[in-house]
Amino acid sequence: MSNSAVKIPPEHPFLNREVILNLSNGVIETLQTMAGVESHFEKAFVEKNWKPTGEYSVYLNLESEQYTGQISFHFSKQALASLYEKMLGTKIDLESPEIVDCMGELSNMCYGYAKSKLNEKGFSLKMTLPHPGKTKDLPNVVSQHPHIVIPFKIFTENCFIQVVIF
Amino acid sequence: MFKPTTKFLIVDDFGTMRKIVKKALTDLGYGNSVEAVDGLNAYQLLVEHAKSGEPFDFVISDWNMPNMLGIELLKKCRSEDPFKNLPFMLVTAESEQSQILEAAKAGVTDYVIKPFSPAMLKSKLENAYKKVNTSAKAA
Repeated sequence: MSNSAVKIPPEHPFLNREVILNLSNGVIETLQTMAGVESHFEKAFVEKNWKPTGEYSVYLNLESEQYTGQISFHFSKQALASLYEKMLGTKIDLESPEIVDCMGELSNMCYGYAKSKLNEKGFSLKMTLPHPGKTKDLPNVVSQHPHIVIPFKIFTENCFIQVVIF
Repeated sequence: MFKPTTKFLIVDDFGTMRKIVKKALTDLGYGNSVEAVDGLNAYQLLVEHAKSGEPFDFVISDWNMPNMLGIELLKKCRSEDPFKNLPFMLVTAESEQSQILEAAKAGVTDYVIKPFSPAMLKSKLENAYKKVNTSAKAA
C-alpha cells in the first residue's frame, strides 16, 4: 500500500486505532451474523488520490461533541448481490435498486456496532442515517480532507471502509 | 409461543431489513405480516387496522428512521389506549446502555440488537411471549 504526503493529524480521535479496529469488527460481525460471510481485512493505508473501485458506496456523517467527519463503505455490485443472496436466499438482479438498499442497511449495522463500542470508550458519537448510492455520485469531500482507507475482501471482491476527517 | 396467526407490523426504512425480519418470521411459521417504511407510516397503519377490526398483535420496529423514530412510535403507542399493551420489539443497531434504558422506560417488550440471527429473533419472541403472558396474568 502506498503512502503519500497527506497530513494526517495523529492525535485526531477519528483516526485512532480503536476507530479502525471497531469499524473492522463491525463489518466482520455484521456480515458473519447476517450472511454467514467471512471478511478478510488488510492493512489500512493513506493515499492522497485514492479512488474506490466498487460501483456502490454509502456514507454516514461522523459527529461527536467536538469533531466531524465522514465514514464511507465501498462495495462492488457483485459483492452486494452475493451478500443479498446469502441473507435472503434469493438471487437479485445486479442492476436492482434493492442492492443499494441492502448496502444501506448493512452499513447501518456495521456503523452501529462500531459506534456502540466506541461510545463505551468515551467517543460520544451521535446517531446518523446512512446515505447509500452509486460511488460516482458520492459528495466530493475526500480530495479536500485527510482520510484513511481500510481495505477488506469478501468472497473474492475488494471492498473498503474510508474515514474522512473534517 | 405466539399463535401462528399473530399479525405482525414490521417497521424499517430499509426494505432489505423488512425482508430479513419477514423471512425469519415466515420460517418460524408466522405468515401474517405487514410492512411500514417508518414510524409515521406504522402509526397510520396501526390506527387503520385497529379501526377496520383487524388490529396488529405485535410490532417489530427499527429505532433509527426518518419521519418518526422507533422510540417515538413506541412512546406514542404507550400513550394511547388501543395500543397501550401492544407487544412492541425494537430491532436496532443502537446497543448503548442509555438507549436500552430509554426503551425500557418507554415500555418496550423486548430489544434485539442488530446484527442478529434468526435464532436470536426466535429467542426474543419467546421472551416477549413470556413477558406478555406474565403481564396479562398479573392484570
